[in-house]
Amino acid sequence: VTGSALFGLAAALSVALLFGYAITTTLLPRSLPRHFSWAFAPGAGLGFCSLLFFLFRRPMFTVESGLTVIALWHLYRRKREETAVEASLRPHALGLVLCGAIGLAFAASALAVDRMPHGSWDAWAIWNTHARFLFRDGSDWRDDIQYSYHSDYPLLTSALTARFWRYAGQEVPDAGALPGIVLALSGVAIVALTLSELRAASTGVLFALLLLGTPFYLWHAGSQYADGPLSFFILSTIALLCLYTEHNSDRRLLVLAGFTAGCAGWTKNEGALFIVACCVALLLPVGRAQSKVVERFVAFSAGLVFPLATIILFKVTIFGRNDLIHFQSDTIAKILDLGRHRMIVASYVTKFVSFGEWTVSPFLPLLLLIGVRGINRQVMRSFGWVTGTIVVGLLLMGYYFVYLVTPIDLQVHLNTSLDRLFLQVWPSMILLAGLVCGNEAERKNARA
Amino acid sequence: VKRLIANLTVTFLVVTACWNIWRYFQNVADLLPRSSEGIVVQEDRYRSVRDLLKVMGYPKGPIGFITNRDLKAEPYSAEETAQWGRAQYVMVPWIMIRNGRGLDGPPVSGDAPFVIGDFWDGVPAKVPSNLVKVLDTGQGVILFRRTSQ
Repeated sequence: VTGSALFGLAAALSVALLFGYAITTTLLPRSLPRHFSWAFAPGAGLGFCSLLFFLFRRPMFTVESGLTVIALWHLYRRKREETAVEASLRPHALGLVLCGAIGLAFAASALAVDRMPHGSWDAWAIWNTHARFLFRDGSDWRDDIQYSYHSDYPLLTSALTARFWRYAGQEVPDAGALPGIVLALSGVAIVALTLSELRAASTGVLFALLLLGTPFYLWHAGSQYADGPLSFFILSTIALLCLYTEHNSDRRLLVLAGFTAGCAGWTKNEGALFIVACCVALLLPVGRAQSKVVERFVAFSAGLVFPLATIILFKVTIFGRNDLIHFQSDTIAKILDLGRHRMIVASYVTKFVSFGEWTVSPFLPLLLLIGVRGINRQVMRSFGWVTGTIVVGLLLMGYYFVYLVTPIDLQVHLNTSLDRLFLQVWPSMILLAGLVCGNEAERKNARA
Repeated sequence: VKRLIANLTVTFLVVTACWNIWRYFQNVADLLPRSSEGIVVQEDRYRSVRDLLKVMGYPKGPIGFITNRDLKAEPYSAEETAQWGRAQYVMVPWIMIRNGRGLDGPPVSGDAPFVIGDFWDGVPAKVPSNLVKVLDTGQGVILFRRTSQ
């Protein structure tokens, strides 16, 4: 890799971070510490750049240059008006452990990328093949991509990879892993910050370590699959919903949540199910508090509209067929087949128990900790936690239904994908577990 | 006692997390070196074919893909299908077609002017008479031009 290519990659990442920071500082309330803007910025920026790349492929540099000027001017103006109090960095012994763990995890991910620069199977067969069509094929990519595997898959990761290559001026295969690693580490930061803000710093760091100490999560940081980035966007959306409920009822948080949910839909087809699950969960209490529900839903939709419109444009203009729909047959018979239900339930249980690829599983000590600290029942009734749990539940139910009617051999389909589906919701499950762990008295003591 | 159990559990969880990350690092270090990785090897095998096709004024379009199984009219095994997928990845934007179809999508109309033979399991003694050898990479990949015979 040449020096100019490395400079190009650094510029691509910096511009994405700048856009992300401009978005998050605008949409996150000033009462939240500034670290939150940095934690959410990579996801917002990379998501935004991916959408831009799809919409403005050729004049991408012109569009991004113009937006860079606008973002810098916007941030300069905000800086002058800034009155928010800087949150002090509270050093914590566990925090130092987390920093060391992040360093080691980053080194491991970088080493994995060096050994497998094109990524694992699906990475090169699907995501990076699509990236190559975007980068190499000029305006014909729309026609030619249909001859590759799963051309109906959304383009967040592929477009980001192609964008990195455009900046680098050449194909650097390792660059495809950059978004995954950045978003995986941002996910750890979001868990740590959200739990630190809403509970205690020690809880935040502990649960962030739990996430980081999941080898399967680390593997997918650098595998160049889209499941890691999707898990980040799902986590971000749920974290923002919880911050909206417990920290500050500023509707801009919901706008950002809508945008991250939209980015989930732009990452994988499962993200479309996530968008539906979010909308259903947000609209559920409509019978009890109609005006509040409408307010929330409008704010969420405002953030969702740009990525959703892009997804619709992609689905309408790229005639990639969806295997699950195209080869669908005997649907009713499959739904009524008890053997299929048994097989799926058995796989859900066995895959969940074996999930994580841990050398030492943290499940039992985690349950013990929750048992000792207790469960905060008040949190379990809060809008953010309930909505997040409903969304995760709806996702798992949706996946169950897809398996039930899949035209692919059921056992093969389960064996090759279920652990990755669990990965998509794993960071969110850790966040939700951290929020509910500990009673109210402990929470107040810890915060004091 | 509850506080003690909680502190011990937290300590155990922290140590466990760090240990898991360290073990993951060791597992990654045991992976094959970059130069032996499957796709990196495949890139090297196909590089000269890509370069020559560009020089010959065929920078994109359909290209036939054959293996020893095709020559023997045998069905593809999982390995052949994987090899076809790898070939498509390294050859983008050319479309690698077999029996008139790409890896996915609608049929490709017309015959491709070039054919790539991927004979990783041994170069065959004889190929169909309508295929004229253009380039033999010496690594089991041969580029043919299709003639009308």
